Amino acid sequence: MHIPDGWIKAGTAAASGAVSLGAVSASLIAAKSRLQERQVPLIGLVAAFLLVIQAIHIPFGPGVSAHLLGGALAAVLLGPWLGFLVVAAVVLVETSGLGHGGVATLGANVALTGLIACLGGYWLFRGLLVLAPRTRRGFLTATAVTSWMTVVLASAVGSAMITYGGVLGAGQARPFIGVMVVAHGLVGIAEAVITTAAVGAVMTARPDLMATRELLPATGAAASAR
Amino acid sequence: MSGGGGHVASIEAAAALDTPVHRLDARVKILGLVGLAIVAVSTPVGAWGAFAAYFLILGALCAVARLPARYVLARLAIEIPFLAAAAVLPFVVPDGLALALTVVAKAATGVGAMVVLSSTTPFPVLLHGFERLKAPRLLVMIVAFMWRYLHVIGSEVGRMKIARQARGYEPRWIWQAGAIGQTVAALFIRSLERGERVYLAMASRGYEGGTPTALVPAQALRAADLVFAGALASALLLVRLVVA
Repeated sequence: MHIPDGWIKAGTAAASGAVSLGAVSASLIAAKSRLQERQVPLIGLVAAFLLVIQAIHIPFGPGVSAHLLGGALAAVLLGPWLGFLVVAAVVLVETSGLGHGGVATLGANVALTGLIACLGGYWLFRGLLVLAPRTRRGFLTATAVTSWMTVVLASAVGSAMITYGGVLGAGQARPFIGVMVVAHGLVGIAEAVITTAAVGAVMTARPDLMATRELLPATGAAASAR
Repeated sequence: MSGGGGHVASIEAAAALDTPVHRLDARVKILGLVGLAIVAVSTPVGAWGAFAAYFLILGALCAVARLPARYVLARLAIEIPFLAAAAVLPFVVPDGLALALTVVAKAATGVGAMVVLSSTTPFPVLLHGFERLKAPRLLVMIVAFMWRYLHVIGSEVGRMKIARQARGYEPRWIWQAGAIGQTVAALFIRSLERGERVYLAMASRGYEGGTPTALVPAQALRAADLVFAGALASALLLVRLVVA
């Protein structure tokens, strides 16, 4: 999911970089007015957690190595803007500190893990909440479905970038996207388990810290409010 | 996850050395090495001389910084899954062999540049460099807390693992996913509560955001920094002119 240098064309890298830069600027403005001091520890924890889970790589054969994303986790716990900034910060550290993901492809990688999995994930989550029953189970089911869908969606767009907008070429698009989507369909299950566990725990212990606390089912929030 | 912890520890050990490369200003290193990666990406397919020059520059920096070859190779291993994908290229794309080698060279230059950057600059110094390059304050703060809490999570994982082993249980299979989920949930809450205590302790000692300046004194660029920047810029320019 983190495209290394050299795998996509300059145009693809520049276009996705411009989109990501715009999204980061918009999020900085939006998040600044919403940021509360007591959220700071949760922000740091989610960021560190994402760095850890994105470092667990699961090999699926030649060139297909899948890993967890955590975009949905950031979206549900921190909201779309702060969540997106956290994901962007994680990708920045992975690039500059670990060499995970390319320098020129930074914008593309922020777009995949942040724009699609976190910002997109947030609105997907809001949509699913409308359909889900207003219970703890409904909230967590929407979280699980969002996690799975964002991982699969990001992998599809990422492999489209490498094929249609990169070195692999459109001829290889179908098999490559196919393999990537199947691999991430499996990874998405692990993503859903981990995200649901973490969200469920915060919902029980500290719902007051969640950016989506107004969306929580009334009973759950009231019963465990401190 | 313990492997990830060891990884971070080895990076921190490498960055703690004291060599001319380590002593360079973080801002110069960030701009120079990011510049090297960008120049490498924009190099045309099959320009082997140029890629040899990039590797030579990175190799020289590693040598001066006294980074062990084994350490650098271990860090470059992050590219291995993509090497396998590149191996497919010659069979599916016209002129695929040259393309595959070029792609691998570009990716290796990018990773190599970032390995040199992170292995010769302690994390607080690197962060302060980004801060002085006018990176958004909120983004810098997120990264600072990420680094601090990475160690909180790491030590909580260690404690929970020992406690679980002491009770004779080691979940690893898919039908034990429930236990893994509960571990994640407990880990998250424990780290959050410890993180809150850490944050309160920081706030009570006067933390107001940003890097403590006592830790990383702000200094002006020195002659060595300017020499490094000038040499790197002219080397890259020369390489690209010769290639073109």
